[in-house]
Amino acid sequence: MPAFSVSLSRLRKLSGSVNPKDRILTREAAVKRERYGNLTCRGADVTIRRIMADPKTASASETSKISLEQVRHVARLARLELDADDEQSLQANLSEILTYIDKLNELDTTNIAPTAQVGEAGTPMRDDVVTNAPAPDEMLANAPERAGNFFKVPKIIEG
Amino acid sequence: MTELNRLTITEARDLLRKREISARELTRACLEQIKLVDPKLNAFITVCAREAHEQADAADARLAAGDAPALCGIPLAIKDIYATRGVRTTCASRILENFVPPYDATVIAKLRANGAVFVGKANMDEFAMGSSTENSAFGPTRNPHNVERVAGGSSGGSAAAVAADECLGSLGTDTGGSIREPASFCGVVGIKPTYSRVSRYGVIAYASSLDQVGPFAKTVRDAAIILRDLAGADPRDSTCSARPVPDYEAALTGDVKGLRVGVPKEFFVSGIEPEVEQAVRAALKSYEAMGARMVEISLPHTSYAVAAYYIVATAEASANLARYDGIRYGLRVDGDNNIELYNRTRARGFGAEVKRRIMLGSFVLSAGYYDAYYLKGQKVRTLIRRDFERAFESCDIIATPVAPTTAFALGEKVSDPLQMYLSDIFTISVNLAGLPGISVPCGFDPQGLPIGLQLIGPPFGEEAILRAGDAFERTGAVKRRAAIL
Repeated sequence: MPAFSVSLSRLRKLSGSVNPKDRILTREAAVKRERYGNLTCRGADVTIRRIMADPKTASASETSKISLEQVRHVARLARLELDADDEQSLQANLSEILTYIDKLNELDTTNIAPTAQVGEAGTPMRDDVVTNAPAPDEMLANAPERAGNFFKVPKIIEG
Repeated sequence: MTELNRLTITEARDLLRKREISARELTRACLEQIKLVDPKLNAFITVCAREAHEQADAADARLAAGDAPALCGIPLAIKDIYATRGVRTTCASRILENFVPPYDATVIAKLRANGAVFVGKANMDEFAMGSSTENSAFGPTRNPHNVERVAGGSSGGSAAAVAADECLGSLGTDTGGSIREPASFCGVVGIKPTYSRVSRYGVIAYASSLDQVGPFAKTVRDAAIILRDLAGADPRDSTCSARPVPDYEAALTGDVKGLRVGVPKEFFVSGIEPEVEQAVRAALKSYEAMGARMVEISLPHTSYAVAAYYIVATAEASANLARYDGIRYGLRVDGDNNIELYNRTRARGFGAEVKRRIMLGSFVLSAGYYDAYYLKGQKVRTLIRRDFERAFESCDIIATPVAPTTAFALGEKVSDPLQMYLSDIFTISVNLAGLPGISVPCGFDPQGLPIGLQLIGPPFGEEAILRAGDAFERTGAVKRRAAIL
């Protein structure tokens, strides 16, 4: 994570040596110092890290769970235009989160049924009847572009 | 009488019915408070002064005619995730910055029919994705108890508005803790009802199998009054339960004798701020003093809840947010063809956290990863549900902290998404299991920041957690503190 090393080195210059054990705390402190100028450490952040600590999480930055190619592929699926910076930071964020998610593999779920819905209503049916009157002006009021009673879109078919 | 905006709903309801105060002056007091404090807090995206005065006058006419439902004339704030006919509804996103819905959400229509007054649309994390209201395209909401601290999220505006007496109650939504965590951080009451208890029609969708509507209020009784108006079947939401809605206020007997309070051992391991743990333990002691019995329980899959949540919720979000394409409503950024138009509109319209979750959700659903991530997440969800089912065999309600810390500083976690996600470790499993949960103020840390007690009930156990929350409130152990502004 490039942003992180910049802050850390800046902090080193400011405060002399840094104990590697305090790396996590220091990183947050560095972010805060950059943004707000005053350094306040909140012990809870460190302790939450400890409680949720997973040996795999610690190495997240070293091994990437998702390649830049995959990031670009998923962005195409999700219809999101990304610039090079977005791609880099998403790769780093998603890798860290996916590494954390890997802790689920500690659980054997071979014979466990998946839960998709927790409601009790099931899938009720209703009659297919029209309940509202046509209101084209109301429905088109939020359209970015309209032509008559239609939503206007860029030309799709060539020729 | 001065400072009408400081009244509780219960107090205001009685004064309105006796015609000792009018809905108009009550509404004016709230709007004046908004004018005074909201430049510091940013709890509102849109203030609806004109509409609120009209609603207040209509409410006064009903009150004068003796036709006064509980919330008639009561000023409420509405999270900007609810479709409100004719009033801009942004979901705190650039992509919906100018969206004016042509219809009301079911709960909005219900509140309107009962004469409630809407003072404004409350700030939130964009598309309800966040735990601090720092992801709003309209700037963060600040905590009324310390403006250098976050209000919590995603319903941070709704919580802060109640804490700062800008309204008497408010609506939020809760997908992973988005009502309970800001309630805890701001020192107000917040309920996430059982999944399916309240209609989601007209609530802009984030993760449909987890999203639930709920109120914020100054007291448990006030929250019970609002919840009664919200709950109930809706033909427009096929997941909505047809169970009859109890009179939640009538459930507040103050009696918790013999109540079995489950205390999960996994929630009290090291990692909680000591002041938070002390306050929650003190609350448990006062339950014992009132005749309740503590039962140690185990929820062994607690530490997997956040991971399972970020699979299930983001997968559902990636599908739900596919509708924002710049064609029928919302922002449009032009392109040479429609695909380019979609790509650019979504790139420009969505903020960083929303993009992150759409990307994660699209990834866990994509070919080759579905079984390893999405299916795995759904299976772990089953394990988490079973933990609760087993626990409720030996207890009536479960008590835990709402969050491991009090309100953190603005900017403290924005650069670290995973840290931000972990602030919901105690609330997320409740959404995965579809259970009701309430946050009740149970103390303050030495810096004066509020601490919340979470009470979790079995499915449709709203009455039990409301009764227990109200009983604790009656002990007077925690006095409501005015916000420091």
